[in-house]
Amino acid sequence: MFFVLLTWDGANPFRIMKSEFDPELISAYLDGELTSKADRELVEQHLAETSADAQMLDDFRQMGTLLRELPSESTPPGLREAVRNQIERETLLSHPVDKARRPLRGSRIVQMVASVSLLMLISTVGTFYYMSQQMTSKSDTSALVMMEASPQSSDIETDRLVLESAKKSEFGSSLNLATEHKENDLAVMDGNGDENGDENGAGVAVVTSESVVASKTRSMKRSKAVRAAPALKELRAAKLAPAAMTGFTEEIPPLPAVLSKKSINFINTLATSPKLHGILKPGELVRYVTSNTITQDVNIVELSVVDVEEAFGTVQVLLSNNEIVPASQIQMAHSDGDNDSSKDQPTPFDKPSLENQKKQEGMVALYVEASQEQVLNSLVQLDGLKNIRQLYVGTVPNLTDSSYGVEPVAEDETGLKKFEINQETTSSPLISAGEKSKKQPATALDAPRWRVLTNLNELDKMSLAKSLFTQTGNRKGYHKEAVVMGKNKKQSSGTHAGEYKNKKGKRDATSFSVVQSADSFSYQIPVHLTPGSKNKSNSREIAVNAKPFNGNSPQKEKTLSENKHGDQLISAGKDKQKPGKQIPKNHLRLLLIISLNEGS
Amino acid sequence: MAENKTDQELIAESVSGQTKAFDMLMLRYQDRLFNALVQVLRDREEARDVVQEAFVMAWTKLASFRGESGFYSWLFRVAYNIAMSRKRKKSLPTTSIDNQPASGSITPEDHHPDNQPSHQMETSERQQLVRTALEKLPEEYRTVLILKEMESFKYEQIAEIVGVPLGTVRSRIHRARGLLRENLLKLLPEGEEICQA
Repeated sequence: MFFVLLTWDGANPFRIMKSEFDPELISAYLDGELTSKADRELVEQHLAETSADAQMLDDFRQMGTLLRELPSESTPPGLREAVRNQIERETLLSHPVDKARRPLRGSRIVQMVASVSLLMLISTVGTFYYMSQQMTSKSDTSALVMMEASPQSSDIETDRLVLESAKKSEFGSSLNLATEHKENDLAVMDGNGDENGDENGAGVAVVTSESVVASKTRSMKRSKAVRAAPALKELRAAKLAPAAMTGFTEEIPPLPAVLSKKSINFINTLATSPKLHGILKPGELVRYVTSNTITQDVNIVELSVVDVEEAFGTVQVLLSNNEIVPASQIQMAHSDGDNDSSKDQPTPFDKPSLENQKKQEGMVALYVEASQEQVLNSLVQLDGLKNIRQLYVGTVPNLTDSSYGVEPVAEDETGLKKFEINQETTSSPLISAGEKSKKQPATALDAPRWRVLTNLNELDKMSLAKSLFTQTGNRKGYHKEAVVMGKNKKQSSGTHAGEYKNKKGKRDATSFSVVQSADSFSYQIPVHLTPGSKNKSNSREIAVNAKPFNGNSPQKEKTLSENKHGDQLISAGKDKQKPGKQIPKNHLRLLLIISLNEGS
Repeated sequence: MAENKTDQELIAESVSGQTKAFDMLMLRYQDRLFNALVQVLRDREEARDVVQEAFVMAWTKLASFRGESGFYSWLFRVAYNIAMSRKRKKSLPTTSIDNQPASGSITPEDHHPDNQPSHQMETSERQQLVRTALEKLPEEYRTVLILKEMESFKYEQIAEIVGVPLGTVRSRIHRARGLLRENLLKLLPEGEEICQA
């Protein structure tokens, strides 16, 4: 059949073909992507007739040459090293990656034996699970969830299971406070649609704990973002020594203490730091750099620096400027009378031990205990230092108090524990044996101080490595789950609003609030008892009210009451003036890690 | 010698757990990957992080590499996915040609021919011009153009890496070239043509 293509005015049909020429063919022609000979001829004919397009083709060709001539960017040093370290760590923590890919070699008999072994393993785990359900409290389930969440590391987690159980129960009550509930607010976690009905208050903590633990474990597994960390050897050793697995704990971060305006300002400033990669928002940062009045856990901040030694010196001076002095000096002062002359001097420390630590771990760990404002101010100042390249905040390292060189000895009016400097673990060579045996005056307990951690045992190191591993704010940003997210929206009422992220990383449009008035301060976080449910009947509310931190103002006494739903409320009572007695400072306990920047 | 081994051999050894083999693969491709990502992302730090993450991801997923495409194109796809994922998380603004300043800081201030000793630009200036013009491209165009011109990928490979149909790749590449040409012509001193540059 023969077609005659005519235009409306009967003009030459080739004009139409010309106007319909697809200019993309020129690029395809240039790139050798035209496989059809007819297409190539069509383009060649078009170019012969259209000088503008021919010029365009020449320009395209020339541009390609120019692009290929662009100088190459050189790969930053240490990249392969960082990859190797990360692979090694991930391999250690989630078992060899080639586990799945490794072909099962051998005969059918071997395969059968393997199958039988697998069945036996499943049976053992099942029995163990059943027994644990029967024998342990609800809080034990959090460890089981961890197993479920991280099947690849089931052997490690199994070892942890028993060891975790007792520990979890200790946190039960505090987690109740840490996870508060409010109607019309969305759940913290989606819970994969499970409806685990809650019968009692204890369940709140359990559900929350489970979800957070599971979430964090998954997060850890998923993450490909592990920076070079100092304690690989310890991790490796820990793998061989299951008993040491107690170091692996993930707890829901407890509620922060009452925040002063200054503290909020400091947090806002820190949150904008490029060294935190802009990942953490103020409300999120609150979790990591404020004192935990309930559990008094120790926060962890890592300073990734160019020169560890230089940074250590800078940190000492900076802490001194913020009136945070070496613990040894406080001891000296109380042992030998007031001796403030040494306050501004860099601290003496056990040099061989510190050097050893730096050599072995590539880092220095400092325990800092001071008021929230002092610590936050120090962090803001540290953030401004050039030597410090990155800031990381992390999960609570599960170290014992003795690791930090302190021992809980007393509680203040608000029920907060006070810590005494542990003489045995203080490494200052300036303290004589005689001085070590002296009992410290109570006032020393409130003094802002710091000390170098040089006596970390293997378990501590592993816990520390784990904390660094799961640290937040790192460039991979896998911390996002089950963490309070804050928007720092200051509303007219002074509400500090934020939001949670659920386990799938989606933000729930829930909010927590920090309401501050002239004489009170409350912090409310909604959490639903049943994951994924917004049902009113499943939610409860606990509010913590207290007087804003003020060194000279009297503290309100905490009281326990119930709201209309029958839930317990801890709230501030009437002012209880105690003239002549100094109000203890709201101390923040911080583990400050100074580590070598991997790119340095 | 590991240096003489093919990608396939190194991959096989890596899969069997030989980290040295994977190290060799890294050594072989890290510069190329990093360079391409710097051009695409316009951020050395980000490119470094993506490369690091990509190699770790490659290590964990190496068993799933079927060898149907070249290792580098597979690796690049992994890296590109990571880069886009990170970008989504950070919600970085997409570069649009519309919101870029009309001229970069390197635009010659005096275009008068009398004040130009020569129309022929120095190599470094020319490269800077090309880089500036490239950076002005919207990311989707810049990416495909880099993959084509600097990485010499085939359209099909680019489609696989970027995750768009083949026709879209062809269209984007042509459009990218057109935009780059426009940008270059704007940046070039008066009277100078691309072919002269």
